[in-house]
Amino acid sequence: MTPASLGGFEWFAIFAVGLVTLATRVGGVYLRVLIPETPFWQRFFEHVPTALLVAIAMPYLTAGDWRGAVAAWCALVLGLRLPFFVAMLGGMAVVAGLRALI
Amino acid sequence: MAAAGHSHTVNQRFFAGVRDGIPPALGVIPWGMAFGLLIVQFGLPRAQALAQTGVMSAWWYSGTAQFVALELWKLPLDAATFGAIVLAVFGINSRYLLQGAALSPWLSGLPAWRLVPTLFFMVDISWALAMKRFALHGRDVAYFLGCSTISWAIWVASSVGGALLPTGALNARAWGLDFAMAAVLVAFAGGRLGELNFRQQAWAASTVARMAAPWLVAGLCAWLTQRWFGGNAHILVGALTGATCAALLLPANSTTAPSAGAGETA
Repeated sequence: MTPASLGGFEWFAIFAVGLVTLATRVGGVYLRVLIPETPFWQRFFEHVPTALLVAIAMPYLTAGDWRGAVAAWCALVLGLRLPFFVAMLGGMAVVAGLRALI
Repeated sequence: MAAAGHSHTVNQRFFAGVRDGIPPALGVIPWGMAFGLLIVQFGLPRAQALAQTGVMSAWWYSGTAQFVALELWKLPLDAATFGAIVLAVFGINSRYLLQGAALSPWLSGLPAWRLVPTLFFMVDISWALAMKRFALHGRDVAYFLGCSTISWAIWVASSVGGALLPTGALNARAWGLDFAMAAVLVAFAGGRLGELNFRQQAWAASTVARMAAPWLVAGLCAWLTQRWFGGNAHILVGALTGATCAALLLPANSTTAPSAGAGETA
């Protein structure tokens, strides 16, 4: 993280991504007739968020820094059953503890 | 507001929604504060960090998508990163397409100038509360708006509050704060996987393998793509391969049914 400031393109991006979010909220109502109502596409859209998060998490789970990887796996396992905030704090505590000890 | 089967006034129905929306919305306070704290970590001047936090939370109003976007975010932002953020946010929020489609029968006939602002505030919890309410009492847009807007207000206030916390005196590395983003995203992934509810599945090896396969495929494809190509392509490749595999192997309605305990309300 380096000191920086937000320019015109950053604010445009924030505005544009907000429009994307709004489009997904409103789009379902209008696009219902266009979305294939087959079981396959229904399941596909249901599982996209999980697959996306797994893909995002992979670099952390396979990180070169083993302390980070161990902490990430701890956060993943804790997240299976505990609220996300507890899992997040658990991961942070593990990485801080490992850095302090080893 | 159209309200089949209701004898209460619009105000009464709106505040009934507010009342029902408060308990689950309180659960997003730590999450919102974490978001504000993470924006501050970018090293922006405090006023800009506050502005970015407030605008993103108020305009996007999508917790998971905000964290994912922050993971990809860099300054100065370039077109490729912007494209990756758009794709990731669309992927994360694609569930809203399904939720909107489910609401469609109840909202049909509503003019666009009322429909768009109403759906702007929709989140998982308010969607679930509204579906329950609509099934029992018919369409009640005032109630839907009540439970949606209180959740929005709490989310925005908590994230701005997080950006206001004094963090300068903390040694971020010693406290693991530099790992917070990674921990949040991995915990989200764990939470999603936890919702698959393996416990209800028979512990036959074939069942376990079928349940786990899509996520192993997603992870493996993402890992290989990142190793070979770098950048953020691994997110798209992992998401598409994992979702396709899940659509082929898994039953429906296992991960997206909103639950109050999932912490996924914004």
